[in-house]
Amino acid sequence: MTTVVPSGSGSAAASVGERRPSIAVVDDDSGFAGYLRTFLALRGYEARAYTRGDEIVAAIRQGEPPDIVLLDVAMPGMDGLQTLKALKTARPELQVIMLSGR
Amino acid sequence: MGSEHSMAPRALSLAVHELRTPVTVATGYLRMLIREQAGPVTDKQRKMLEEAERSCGRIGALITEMSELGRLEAGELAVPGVTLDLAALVSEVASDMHEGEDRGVTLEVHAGESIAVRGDRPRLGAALKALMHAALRERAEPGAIVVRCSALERNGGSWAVVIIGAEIILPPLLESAHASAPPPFDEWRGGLGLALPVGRRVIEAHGGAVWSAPDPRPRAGSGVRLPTAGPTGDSGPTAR
Repeated sequence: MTTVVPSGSGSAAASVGERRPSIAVVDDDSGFAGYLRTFLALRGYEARAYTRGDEIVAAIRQGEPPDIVLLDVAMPGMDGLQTLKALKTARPELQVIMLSGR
Repeated sequence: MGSEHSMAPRALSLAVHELRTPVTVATGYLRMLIREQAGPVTDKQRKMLEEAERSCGRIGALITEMSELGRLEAGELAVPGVTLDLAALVSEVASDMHEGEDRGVTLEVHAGESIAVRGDRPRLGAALKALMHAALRERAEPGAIVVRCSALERNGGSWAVVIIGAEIILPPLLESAHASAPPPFDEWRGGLGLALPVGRRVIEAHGGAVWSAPDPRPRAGSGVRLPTAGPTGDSGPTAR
């Protein structure tokens, strides 16, 4: 798995006005989720990490949704596709990128 | 019996998936540290981090080979019908190999005439590279490893043959190319990763064969036989 995201915090922050663009990372591997959060934060994104599908669904129902969700496909319990369905039901306009290590 | 056969590729696939993520994380954090994104590092620390990153790279390469092996074992790789010049591929791969130069071991390539085969150029190149790499690694004394690419008529079919080894073992290696069942190939050798098992399966997926020299020293050299591409674009061996 290779992570490639545009670098440069200035350009990332400038693309959504004053607010830093926000990305939610959902992966049951907390090490990987934490790494991606750090990786994205270094590039100027407001990044939050979740290790369960139901956590991101609850967070999105309650608060402001992120600009993009990076969502792992294979997760125990509520898997990536079930989470995707729940997210789209709650916020049809939400942009989601699925992640798979296979 | 059937379940045992199907378990290995699945286990390999699962292992690849489980290994890839922690290696990605470790490599990613090491790169952040090397780029001083988490604060300055001393020269000594940088050297340690760079060595750790190289080691992660080796693990990553092994994981890629495991993934390839799993896909080949599961029959998931389709061989594309692209025509390529095997002689040119042999020369290209050999020109990029420098293993053994510090020990006086060199590659001597004889691959003049074009020989068209059909298949997956990058994978065939990787298979040939693995065989040349093994020959260079396993030769203890200084000298040349000869790589010879030639055409062969066998059983009414046309084949491309690549033999790799010291000059003295080339005749028996070439002789084995005529056999319907060439000598076995020792692919499970220490220190060479999974490139040889992957390479053998890639060659066999192309309808070819790979063998070791019929010599008391089984690692002294290897041979490869691949069906040539027919003039009408057939992928199998064709009669001349």
